[in-house]
Amino acid sequence: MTETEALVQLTGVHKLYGETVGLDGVDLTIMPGESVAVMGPSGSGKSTLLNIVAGLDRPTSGTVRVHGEDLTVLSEGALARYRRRRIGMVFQFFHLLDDLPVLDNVMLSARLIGTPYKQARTRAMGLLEELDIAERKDAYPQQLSGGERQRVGVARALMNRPALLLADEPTGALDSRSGEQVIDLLLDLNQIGQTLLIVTHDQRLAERCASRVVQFEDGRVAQMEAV
Amino acid sequence: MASLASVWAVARAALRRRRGQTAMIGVIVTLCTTTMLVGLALLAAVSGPFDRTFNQLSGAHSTMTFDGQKVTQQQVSATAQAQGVAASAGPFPVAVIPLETTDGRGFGGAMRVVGRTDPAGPVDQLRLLYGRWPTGPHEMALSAFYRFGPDPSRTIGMQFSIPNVGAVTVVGIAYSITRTADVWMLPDAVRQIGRNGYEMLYRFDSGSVGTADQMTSHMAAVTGSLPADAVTATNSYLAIRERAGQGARTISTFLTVFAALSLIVAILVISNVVSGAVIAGYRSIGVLKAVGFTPGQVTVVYLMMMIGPTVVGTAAGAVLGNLASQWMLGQFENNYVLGLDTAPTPWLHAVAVGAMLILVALTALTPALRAGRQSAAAALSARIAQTGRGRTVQRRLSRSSLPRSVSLGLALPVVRPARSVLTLIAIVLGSVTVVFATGLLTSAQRWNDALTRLAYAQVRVINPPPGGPTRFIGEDRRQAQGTVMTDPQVEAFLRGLPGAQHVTVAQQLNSAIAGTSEPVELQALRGDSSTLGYPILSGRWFSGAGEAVVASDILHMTGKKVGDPLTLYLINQSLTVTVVGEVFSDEQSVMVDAATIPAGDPGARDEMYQYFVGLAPGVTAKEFIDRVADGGNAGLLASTADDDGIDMLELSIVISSLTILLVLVSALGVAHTVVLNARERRRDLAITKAVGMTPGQAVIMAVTSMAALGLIGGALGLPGGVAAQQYIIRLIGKSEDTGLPLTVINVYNAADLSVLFLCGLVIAVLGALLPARRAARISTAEALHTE
Repeated sequence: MTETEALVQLTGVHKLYGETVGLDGVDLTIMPGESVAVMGPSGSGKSTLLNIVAGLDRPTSGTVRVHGEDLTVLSEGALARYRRRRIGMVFQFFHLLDDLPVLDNVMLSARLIGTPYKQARTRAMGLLEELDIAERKDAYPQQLSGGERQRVGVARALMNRPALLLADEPTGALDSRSGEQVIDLLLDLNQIGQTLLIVTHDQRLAERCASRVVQFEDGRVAQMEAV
Repeated sequence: MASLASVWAVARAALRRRRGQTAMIGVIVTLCTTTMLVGLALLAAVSGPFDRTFNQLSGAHSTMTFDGQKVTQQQVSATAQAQGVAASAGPFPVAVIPLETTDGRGFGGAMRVVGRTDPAGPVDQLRLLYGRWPTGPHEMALSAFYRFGPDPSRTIGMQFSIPNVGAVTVVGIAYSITRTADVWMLPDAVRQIGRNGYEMLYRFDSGSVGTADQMTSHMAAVTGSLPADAVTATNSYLAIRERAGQGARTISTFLTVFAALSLIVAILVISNVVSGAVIAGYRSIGVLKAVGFTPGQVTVVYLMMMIGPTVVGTAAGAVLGNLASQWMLGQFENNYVLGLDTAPTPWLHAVAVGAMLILVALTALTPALRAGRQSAAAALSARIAQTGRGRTVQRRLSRSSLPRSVSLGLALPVVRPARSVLTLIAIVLGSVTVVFATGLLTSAQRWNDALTRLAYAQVRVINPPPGGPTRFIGEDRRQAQGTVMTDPQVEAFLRGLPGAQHVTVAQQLNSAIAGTSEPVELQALRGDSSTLGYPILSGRWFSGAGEAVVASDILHMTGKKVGDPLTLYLINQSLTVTVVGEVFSDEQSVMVDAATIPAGDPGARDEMYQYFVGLAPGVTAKEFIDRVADGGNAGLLASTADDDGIDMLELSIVISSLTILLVLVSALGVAHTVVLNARERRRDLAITKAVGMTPGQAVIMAVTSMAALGLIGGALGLPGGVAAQQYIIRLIGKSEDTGLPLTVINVYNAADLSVLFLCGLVIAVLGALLPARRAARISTAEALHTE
């Protein structure tokens, strides 16, 4: 892939859940280094879009190419490998494993691809230090504040140096102060070249982090504007 | 009513929503009920089988035969009025004849032919196992104790030559618990044979038939008014019960172990499954309470969720268990040691079904009541409450060099220790069963080999007396034509045939030993007798005249041991030999060097010599038999040596079936644990998949979680199974009143143990694989969304 090629390319993507339309002919292109915020009311198709780009769900029709790979033809195993190599995900409710300490949570995706413990630990500690949470490495998720948990989530998402970082309502479960911290963090990441696709209701987040805002309505792209 | 309707509606909806879990509980309850019913049926079958069948068939306490020349039929009939006689049947005409097939094959010895018009009656009701009762003079029913090959029904249609009657066809196979006849024909046909006596069957007052003295007293009362020599034979049910009991004890010993294992595994697995399923529903319990269900209603909902599949499962299990136990016990039917009624009685069905329903209700009730007492908030946060266990283990494993999917899997059992322990015990019992069954079958095979000694002497040759019937029936039988050779000539002839490696000449003599009531077979051996392959339990093989090697059971009966003198009573003289060896044999025999026996003793049975030939490697028994028949010119009969031992096929079928059933239940217990773990950890699985765990890694994680238990279970089950096998085989030896060769007891070698060690792992992986694959297919997006 060259610099001028799209990192994410959705063409005519439809997603049906029985009779219900999730996505209705979505075309979307994201270039490397871009930060795109997807906004819209509940049920407009934002999360469905994110799940399809993450390889967690498959479109009913259309093509989805990420980093040159057509996700629609990949097997479940190949999609898993795609997720751990190409993307990182940040969730609204953090989705950390409660029985693992912070450090192990962060290292998980690296260890799953066979990275040796020491190497993974070094990388994870580096990320935790950058995110200013290294001193909580031995804590368990339940012992952390919401903001801390989300920073751990971000660290885990960045562990395998993903080309694309997907964030699903990353500030949705945080108080405003913690939300601000996460927004700063995402902004910093984008400024150093990390491509972002953020699904959010948070206008502040979109305005501060996104270079482009895509409005969704009834499973379609209703509006697209540069910030 | 409205509240009951809502409870019912919620329970029904929950059953529908959890179709997978409901189906699994149903299947497990079905198999557990099957296992429990089979276990109970086995226990019932092996507890007093003779007495049960004896009473069912109104067996004869005493069977007496009277000389028709000494007493009249009326005199015999009158004995039914003797004091103590509760019921009687007869007199039936009886004749004792040699029985030969129309093509000249003989059963050997005398057979009792009894005339009865039908198999019913107040005493000794006969059970027709195959075919029908004779309706004409040329038809007969043969006793079920005589078999030709593995399928007794094939005997039907065989024709026998009966003196003064002619050809008589077997039309039925009948079973008499007290063995009152070898053959039944219509009374007129038996009278036609001639030289008749009378057979009378008696049942005495039930309170006075427990001892030999009581029986003697009854028999004296019956015969008191008759001439002293009128009775030609008497038979007490006590002796028959003792013989039947010996066989039953052997089988019941290991069947009891299987029955006990079945019951424990069934109870254990069902407890684990039901309590786990209720605990897994805690969050839903919280939701129900939050919308206004009372604790009692919540408890009822969850009990109904369990009882629904349980009712269906127990009904199916009762049907399957009924069929399975009938089939398994039917495998032993031909041994006639377990009685004939192989179907579990209705009350056994009731016990199995009732016990299963109560077990499910009790195991479900405790966690459901606990949930009912919890606040809605606590129930809703059940997932969070259960976290925190085994973190040290998880942390250590995460630092290991194991693949992460493996280390995550290994840590799973510590999160639910109680569930893991119950699953582990199920695996241990499954492993014990496999190890025990494998050892038992190997022991049985070696027991068989030790008895038949087919590895040592493959061909038996008989030099029959001219003209007379022989006792001989064997496989691949061929008889040479020609003139009779003398014994030394036969030996020299056999030694000269290609393929003969060892030849042992045996002459059988009737003898008795002080201290035993049964006759002892004295075998005078000549030639290569030490190569006959009798397993020596102690001492050595004889090395010359005056020394004897004795079957273990005879030494046990007489209290003799190696080094003791033993006096044998022949027809006209006694003979004292020194016991130099104890051998494993079921023949109640004493073996001596032929030079020990004084020449010309009239006790030599049939004046017949047998020659046991051990073949050179590469020569088959059939080839050698052909050489004897083709080159003998001596009227010699050659056949394969006896292979009458344990029926390995029946034993293998029953033991394998029981083992498969138990392993299946154990594996299902494992499967359900994986299902519950996957349900509880759905969110964690979705997270790990979201960060890149492949479906294959998810399967490995789930399978590894049980594989660890499997390895531990295998390690614990191995010594348990070996100990059970050793204990049971010694117990069987004790019930047979014989010492056992070490090869029969110690059957496991290092290679066997290495493989058997893995059976716990196999059970765990077998149980975990399918639910693990199913769990790995969960929709990550959906799981994360719903969490």
